Parts: sequence; structure tokens; C-alpha cells
Amino acid sequence: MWGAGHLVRRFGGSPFRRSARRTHPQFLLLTCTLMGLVQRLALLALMGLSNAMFEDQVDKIDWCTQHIGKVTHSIFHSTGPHRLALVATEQSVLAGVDLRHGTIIWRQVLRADEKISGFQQHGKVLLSLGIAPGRLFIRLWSTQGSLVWDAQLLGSAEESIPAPTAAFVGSSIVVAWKSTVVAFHGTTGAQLWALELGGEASDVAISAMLAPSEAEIIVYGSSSTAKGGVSLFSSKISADKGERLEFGSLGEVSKNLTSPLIATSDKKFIAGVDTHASKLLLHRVGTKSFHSIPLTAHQLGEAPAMLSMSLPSVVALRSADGGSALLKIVTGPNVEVLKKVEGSVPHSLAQASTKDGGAVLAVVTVSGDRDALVLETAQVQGDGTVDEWKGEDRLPWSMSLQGWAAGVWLNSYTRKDGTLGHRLLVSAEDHSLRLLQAAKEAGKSSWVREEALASVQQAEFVSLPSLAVDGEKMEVPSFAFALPAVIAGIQKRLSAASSASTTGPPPKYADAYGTRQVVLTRTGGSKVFGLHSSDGSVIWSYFVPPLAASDVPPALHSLHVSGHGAQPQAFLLAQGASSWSVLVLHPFNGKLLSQTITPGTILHATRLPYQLRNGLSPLLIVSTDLKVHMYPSTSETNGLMLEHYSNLYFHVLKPAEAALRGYSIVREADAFVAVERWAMIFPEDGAQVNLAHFPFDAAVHSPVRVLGDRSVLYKYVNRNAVAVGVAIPEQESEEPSIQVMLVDGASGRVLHSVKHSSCEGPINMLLGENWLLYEYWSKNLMQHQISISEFYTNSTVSDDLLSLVLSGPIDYTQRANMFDSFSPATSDLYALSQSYAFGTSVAAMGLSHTAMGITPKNILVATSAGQLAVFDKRLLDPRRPHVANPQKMTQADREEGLVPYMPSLGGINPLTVLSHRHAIKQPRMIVCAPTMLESTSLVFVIGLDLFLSRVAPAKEFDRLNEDFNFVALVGATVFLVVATVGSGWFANRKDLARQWR
Amino acid sequence: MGGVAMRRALLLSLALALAFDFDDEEDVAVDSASPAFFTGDAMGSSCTLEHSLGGKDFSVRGKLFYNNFASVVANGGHVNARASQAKLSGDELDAILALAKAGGYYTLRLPSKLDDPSSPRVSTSVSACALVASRFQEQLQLSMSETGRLLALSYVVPTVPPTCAGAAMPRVPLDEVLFNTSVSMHFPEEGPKPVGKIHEAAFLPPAAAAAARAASSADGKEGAEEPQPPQSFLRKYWMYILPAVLMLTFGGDGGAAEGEKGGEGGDAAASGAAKPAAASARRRN
Repeated sequence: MWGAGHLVRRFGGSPFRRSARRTHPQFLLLTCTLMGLVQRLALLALMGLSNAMFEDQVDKIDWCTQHIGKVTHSIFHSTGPHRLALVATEQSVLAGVDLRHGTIIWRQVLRADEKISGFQQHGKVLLSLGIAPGRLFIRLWSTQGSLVWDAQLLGSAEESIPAPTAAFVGSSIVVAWKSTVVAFHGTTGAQLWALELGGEASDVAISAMLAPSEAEIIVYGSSSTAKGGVSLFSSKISADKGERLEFGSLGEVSKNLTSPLIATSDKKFIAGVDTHASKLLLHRVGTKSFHSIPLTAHQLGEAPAMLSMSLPSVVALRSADGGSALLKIVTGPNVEVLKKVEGSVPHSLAQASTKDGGAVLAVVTVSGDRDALVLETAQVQGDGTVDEWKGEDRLPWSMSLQGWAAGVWLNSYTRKDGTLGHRLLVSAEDHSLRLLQAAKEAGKSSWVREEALASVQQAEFVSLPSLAVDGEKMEVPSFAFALPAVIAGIQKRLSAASSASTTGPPPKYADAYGTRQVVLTRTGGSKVFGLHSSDGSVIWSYFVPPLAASDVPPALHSLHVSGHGAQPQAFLLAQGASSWSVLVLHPFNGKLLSQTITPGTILHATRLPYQLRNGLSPLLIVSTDLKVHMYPSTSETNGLMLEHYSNLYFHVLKPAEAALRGYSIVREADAFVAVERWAMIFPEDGAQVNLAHFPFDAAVHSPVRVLGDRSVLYKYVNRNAVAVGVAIPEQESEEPSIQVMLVDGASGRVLHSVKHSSCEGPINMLLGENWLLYEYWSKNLMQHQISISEFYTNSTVSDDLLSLVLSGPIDYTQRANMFDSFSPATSDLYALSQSYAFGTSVAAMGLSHTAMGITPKNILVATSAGQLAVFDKRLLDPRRPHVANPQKMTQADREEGLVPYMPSLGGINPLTVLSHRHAIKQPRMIVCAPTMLESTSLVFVIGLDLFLSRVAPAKEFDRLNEDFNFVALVGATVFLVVATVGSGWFANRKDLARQWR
Repeated sequence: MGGVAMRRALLLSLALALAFDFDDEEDVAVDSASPAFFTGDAMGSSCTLEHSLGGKDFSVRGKLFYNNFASVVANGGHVNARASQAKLSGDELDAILALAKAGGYYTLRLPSKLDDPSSPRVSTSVSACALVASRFQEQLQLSMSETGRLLALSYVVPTVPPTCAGAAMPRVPLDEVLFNTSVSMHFPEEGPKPVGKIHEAAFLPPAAAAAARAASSADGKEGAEEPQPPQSFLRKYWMYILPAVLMLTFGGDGGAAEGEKGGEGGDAAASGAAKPAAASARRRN
């Protein structure tokens, strides 16, 4: 898997602004010096830490959407009026989803590294088995979602095959994992007994469990024999004391079982598959051996494996080519094929239990026109007799919009007329969850939950088009007839104000402040969404279908937005099994404008910072064979590339190789190829490496920091800098440690390196214009710590006023005056650092991002608990003075607005929690985007949940509040004018009268 | 002049005395951070430094001699290492001059475990024209991890022309060039730690922390300062308000009013002090 890459340029122009209008840095220096006092006064005026938001802004400027993730297990449950689907998901979530509306009734989010492998219901309780590295979590829940108890079994860290099994036996719950069988009290969770079967044979792996009665349990599994073979065994265990009553071998198989053993629901048979020998292994409960039944005669395809369906005397198999078969066990014992579906037809099997011990079997296939699902059902009686296959209900579906129905759960119910009705809960390839209702006339879709939004990997903001661009007629006001235009404007504002008060979808055009934007999100479900930044509603979505006919949907590599104003385009890169594709989407309606498919694998892709004549920026795509591809591939892009290729560098983190590699681009035989220029190698033994970049489109307002005594520190601003964090875990003889480095992405030079001994990762890093902030865990002090390093450089530019005025401007178009990553001066920096203890663990950090970078910065911290807290950058400033008493601070420090140093940042002040009542579960990343207002930036927290709000670090200095009293302002102005004129007239009159005396 | 001579004599005698003292001292093996002369023996270990012209085929350039100083590894900092003298001649020299003209690059690499030649390689490169422009003077920095592994190489040459194409290259007069190499190994320094004692209540939200601090200080010593009850505006600023009120009360305004009266005549009892004020009031009018 390739890590994130980043494009850098060897040469940069003036690094301080991104606007087209170039401002002389020396002029900036001068203005900064002069503005220093003004800024400090403003800062002092805002001395109180910025509050997150006001009470009346709650839920107006922010939104939070809750998700559950891709559903892997589901159980239907009804209590009273509620019809619930109890689900477990890939994102370690258990939830109760209302079947009528698709809303979440309850939700429990488990540890992110816990993978739910078992999910069973028994009466009013729900059992979940979750495998985390090195342990198994057993949790019992009520069907209302409250935790009854939980327990854990420790084991080795490797992935457990076979998965754990569990059974409700009387009032206890018996769990078998690897070679251990443990019983827990059903009400209290207390461990009743534990039995280790590992002593009986080597490599014991329990695969199935059966409870024929409340007094005994039989476990089945495999173990290694002395001759190196694999033997199947059964062991009878007493349910009350956990004593081993019997242990016997049932026969040998060719190799380890790769698919689990399955107990039929009538508890008569245990079935498994010897995949290598293509034989069905069938054991009648109570006997002493397995029967091997060759499957070749039934032509079930290569390497069949068991499907985990528990049916009365019926087993389900799936072959390597995707074909499925339902086999009925008949006397002999032997099997006969009930139903066979070829692998070439997309299909899924589902089952529902009936009250009499029987089951309803369902086979879901796609219709010929691939525009509907076809549902076929058959009832299986408790004794194993199978009724005829019924009906071919068509259910609404579109393979092109949501992919195939990867997970299907059947809910059969008895209609009022006595017939059997069916509902299907379907988890599609695009991770969406929907309920389909089979009806006599035509099936219908009840609701859809877009669960791909639980796995957002990237978000890009695009301003919505203004009304005029949208084609709406807008009269240009004339100065000659200003009055009608003013009246029209007032009327328009009034109507906008009245329409704003009504509830409804937010308008899909830009507002004056630029807060209405489309949030383009790339997800793990091969789907891209355009979300409205005002309320999080889905404006459009686009599912990327498989690039080749037999492929799975491609992984989405990256998303790039190109062009500004009315004609932006979204470039989406998708990586299939053997080819990659560039899809051009319209960012406001999600329409596919064009698509190209190229064989190969993407190593790195980025948008070049150069514009074509049509205003779009081309894409640079490098495949793993280091060939450089351009999109669009035209002579114009080729010319652009010829001009700039020697300055283009990029780097790629390769976790599999524990390496960070830097590349440049060279020209070979009229083609561009990437060549490796530098490589960093990290320790392979479990070191965690992560990177942080400063957004290349973020503005840097000032090249200097003005101190309280009017002197300046020159910021070390290197646009190519990358922060590299290496967390080395605890070894046998060595303490854990972390090492944080600042690396130049073009030359590969290490600019700054620091270690923290006895500290552990994960390291959360945030790279600002000239500073690096990182959070880690101090093992010795048992606390979370945050360190800040600010980088400054020495400058030969004289900073006194006269020299600045007299010295001529530097020509930044000359390359000699540009920033060069390879220059010896690039390594000339020094760091100021401080550390603080922090009260909670951090999941993600972000930095407010405004249009011109003038506004002071806010640091956004998403805690593991799901709070989004706002910190003033002044709290994380290595120049915080060490004074015992704040009164003893020097005047200069006071003027600079420094805060006295404290070893702790304190607890999280509730007034700074931007997420207020929302708990943003499993936050992973924070994305900030500027608005038209310099004061305000949008903050988007991405995790299992999505949360968007606004942040204004220096309050909204460039905007009047919505509740500003305009009447009072106009009234006061009119009053003052009248009073001035009136008092002048009165004074004149009085003076005249006095003169006449 | 005599004073200068005397000072020189004094310094010379002092130097001799010091030299005498050191000569008398027994030889002790000192772990010098930067020894003046390098020999293979002084540097404990060595590894192979490889190079490539154009980044393709790597060949052995020479040896790198280094010594891991335990104190530096533990505390961070840098120590010098030594690279064996490398030279380019013949085809290699022609190749690098050609690369410099074509905008190619020159790459160096070292094993990430310096004592294990088969470990993955850490590499770095520099533009060939910059190397030629710097007259093969180079500075190589080895960024090490705490455990002594090589993480990264930084390659710095003193002169970097903005563009290679058309840049004036120094002429290479001989048929071989020698590299002037300086090598240093950088071990990471320990990062900052929180300074000072962290109060037990430090991780509470500010209001709760203040309350906890107040409670703990009240428990700790009796008669701790009670928080001051809020004072009224008058009570706080009476010292500013009082003079202002007094000035308003006893200032010139009263006199002006009296003067007005005097100006209008009739009051013979008007004080003499009021007269100039009345006159000035008339002038104003």
C-alpha cells in the first residue's frame, strides 16, 4: 500500500502570499513592524481566550451527522412497536437501526481496532465477539443498546483463524477461541470456568461448538498430528463445571481447514470442507467419525469453502470462482444439490429463521438488465425438507449507482392474509445500507443510509457558484437609475431574510461570505459525495463502478479540484486491480464529464500548481514503473511540463518498506520519468511513521515575528518542509521512544531532529508555516504531552526603518532570489521549543486556514473522546516566558501578548469546545477551508461521524453580527445629523441675538 | 613597546608552564568529539560508501570511518566522521562533467545499519553541476536514530547555481579531481519536557481547577486569603472621581457665572477677582 505523497518544488517564489498580486516582503516587513503595535492592541483587546461559539449559533453554523459504517452482521428484532435491525459494522460499531425510517435508535462505538467477528441474539440480549490485537472482547448488550457486561480473553497478537464461536447454554454463555473454552455467567459476566484443550494435542483450533442440552457442550476443531498431518477432533465438556468428558479424533484431513466447521441448525450434523481435496466433511452428531464426500461429481467449481449459514440439514458452499451451491444432506450420508448459482451471475444468499425451527432461504440475483434484484425464496422445514422455490420478486436496484449487494439479510414475516412477506436489508458495494420491500405488485426501496460517509478519506472544498453563473437573470444596476436598483436590492434582501427563516434545503448558490461550499469527499466505498457545507446534506454522489468487468469497485486514490470560479472540475483517480482511471466530475452536480483508463498502478498523483489556458491545472500522475503521465495529455500540458519538470519533486511514504523516498522528474527519450533522488529508511521492527504537511495553498501573511521590543525574528518558511514522526515501540531491552524530524521534501535533508525518550506514539503532528506541533504519550510521567517547535532563521536583511525604505525592491522573479531547497542556507535554522502536559489524548489536530493568513491562528484539537476543542496559538508558543508571577512579566513580553508559561495546558475548557453537545466518534482528520471573510474559516472533522462548523480566531472583525441593530445605527446617525444641524442653527440664532443687544 | 614585549614574555612563560604541566601528565585515552587527525585506528568502525553518476549503477566510492560515542548517542549532538579520500578520474570525471552539463545528479548511499552491509540503503543526491561548481567540496550529514541506525543522509555543497543550463562551470584543469569531504553524524537531542511541577488540579477545566486550588490552599493553611467580594465602582475608583468632582465643584465655572452677573452691572458687591473673568467672557463673545 502506498502512503501519501506530496509534491514540492525546488524553487518557490515569494513564499509569503498566494494571491496573484505580489507584495514585496520588505514592504511586508515594514508594515509588519508598524502594524505590530496595532495587532498587539487588538490581541490585548481579545485577551480572553476565544470562545467557540455563542448559544444562538448552535446548530445554525454547524452540523454533525452520525454514521455506523459498512454493515457486516445484522439481526432483525422487534419489541413492541419497534422494528429494529441490530447491526455490527466494519468500523466496530453496534447499532439498532429503525426499519421504518432507517434512523439510528441506538449506537455503541467500540475500539477502532476491534473487529467484530461474532454477533448473536438470544432473547433480550445480544452477544458480540470482537477481536483486537492480542485479545478477544466478549460483550453482552441489551437489545436497547446498553452494555450488560464485558469480558476479555488474552491471546497472541496474530489474526485468529478460525473465528471465535459462542453458545448460550442454560444461564451461561460459553465462548471457544483458539484452544480455550470459557464459560461466563449470563447475568453477571463472572467467569464460571475455563478449559484449555491445548494439552490434548498440539495446534488445537476450535472451529465449531454445539450445545445439544443444557448439561453438555461439544466442541469441534482441528489439531496437528504427530506425523505432521491435521486431525479433526470432538470434545464433550460438562456445561456446569467445564470438565472434559470425552476427547476423540474424528479422522484426518489433508491440510489445515481454511473454512470453518458449521453446525446445522437442527444440531444433527457438523459440516466442513477440505478445500484442498475438494471434499465435504460431514459428521453426524453422536458418531465417532467424519464422512468425506467428494464434491467433484457435483461440479461446484474450484476450492469450495463453507458459507456461515446454519440451516436444518442444509449446507451452503461457495467456490473460488464465486459460484454458490445449497446442498441438502440426505441419508447415507450424502448430499444432493438444492440450488446452484454460477459465479458469473452476481448473487447473494440469505436466510431467516422461522418459529417452528425451520428457515426461509433466499437467493438474490441481478436481473438481466442489471436494473433490479431478483429474489427467490424457499422454505426449509425443521426436519430438512425443502419446499418449492417461489416467486421472482423484482426489487429496485441499480448496479451502476450502488454496485452489487454485497451483504443481504432476509426478514420474513407473515402478512395479514397469511402469506409470507419478505424484506431485505442490503449492504451494497458502495457501503450504503437500504431496506428493500418485496411486494406483490412491485418491490420498493424504503430508505437509504449512505454509510460510505463513515470512511471519508479526503475532503476538498469548492465554493458554490453565484446566482449569476447559475444562469438566473440578474439585472445590472445602472447609476442613472440607482433608486430602483436600491429598492430592488432591499426587496431581495427582505425576501431572502423571510425565506431564510423557513426550514428547507439550503440554497445551492454562493452567499456573500463564501460559507456555502460544496464539500467533495472521497470515501472508502468507491464513492464520492458532494455535501452541502450548510447542513451536510448530500447534493450529489457518484459511485465508481469496477474498471474491468470482473473486478471489484476500484479504490479511490485521490481527488483534486482544479480551476476557480464558475468552471472548476473535480479529478478523481481510481485504482483498479490492474489499471487506473481518471474521472472528471462536475463538482456541483456530480456528472461524469470524461473518463480515461490506463493500465498500471498509481504511485503518486498530484495537481500541478500551473494553469492551462482554460484555467484548469493539469494532473501529474506517476505509476509504479516510474512513468510520468499528464492529464489532460495535450501538447499544452507537455509544453508546461517541459518548462517546469526540472523543478518538480515529490516523495512517497512506503510503509511496507519502512521507507520515505523522494523523486524528481527527468526527461528520457521524449518521455518524462521519475527517478529516486533520496531515501530515508526507518526501523522495520514495528516503528510507526507518519507525516505532516503544511497545505500548499495556505497563505503565509508575514515573514517575520515582531517582538515586544520592536525587533523581529525571521520565520523559517520552507514550503517543501515535511514533518516526519517515528514512534519506536518498546523492545525487550529498550524503552520506547519517539523521534520527530523536519525534512526538506525536495533535497531530503534533515533540517531538525529531536527525540523524546520513554515516550510512545501514536504521534499526532501539525505543521504550520514555521512551526511544528506534536502530541505523544509520556510513559514515565503517565501523561499526554504536546510539544511546539518554532523555526527561525538568521537574516542579513537589515530591519531598521531607514534601510527598509532606502533599499530597493528584490526581484523575486529572478531564480537567484527564490527559495532553493538545495542551497546551503536552507539548512540554516534554529528552533525554539517548549512542551506542555495535556489532559486528554488527541486523535487529530488541525489549523485554521483563512484566505490571506492575516488572522491569528487557532489550533483545533479533536480528542479521542470526540470533542473538538479550539486552542489559541498563543498557548502553544515557545516564547511563553517562565515567570513565577504573571505580574512580573516584562513590559515587552506583555506588549507582545505572551502568556506566562505553565507546565500544563489545563483541562479542556467547556467554553472552547466547538462541538458542544456532539461527540464526534473516531475522529481521524481535521480539514480547514477559508471563506470569503478573512476572519472565518470552515472546520470539517472527519471520523465515523462528520462535523462541520466555523471558527473565527479573532472574532468576526470583518462582519457585523446577524442580530446587529441597524435601526439603532440609522436612528442614531439621523439623530446626530439633526442634532448637529439643529444646535448649529440654534447657536447662530443665539449669537445673532446677542450681537443685537 | 616595552609593555608589549613584557606581555609577550609573560604569555610565553605561561604557555611553557602549561605545556610543562601537560607534558608531565600521563597519557589518557580521550574520546575527542573532533579529533584533529584521522587514522583508521582512531575511528572504530567503517562501512562502505557507494556512489552513482546518474542514479543507476552504484559503485564503491570509499570507506566511511566512524565511532559511536556513547555519550553523544545518549544525549544527542554531533560527532565528526571521516570518509576516505575519493577521487574521480578518467571516464568517471568525463561522466560527471557530462552530467553537469545535462542537469544530471550525483548520488551517495550508505546502509541503514552501518554495521550490516545488506541492510536497506539510505541515499541522497545532489545536482552534478552544483558539485562541480563547488569544486567537489561536500558536506555529508548522517541523521541517526537513538538506536544508532542511519535514518537519513543530508548532502550539502557550498555553491548551488540557480540553473545548470548555461551556468559557468569552473574549469577542471587536471585529469583527476579529489573530493573535499566533511562528514558528521547527528544524533537527535532530547526534546523539551514540561518545566515545573504540575498541580494535581491542572487537568481540570479552568473554573474547576481554580476551585480545586482554592480548596487545597484553604486546607493547607488556615486563615488563607478569602476571595475579595466584588467592590462597587465608587469604592474602587473614588481616588480618581473625588478630585474630578472637587475640580468641577470649585473650578472656574462658578466664577464665570458670577462674572456674567457682574458684566450685566448692577451688583456693586462683585468681588475684584470676578472682574477679569467677566472681561474674558466678553472677549469670547
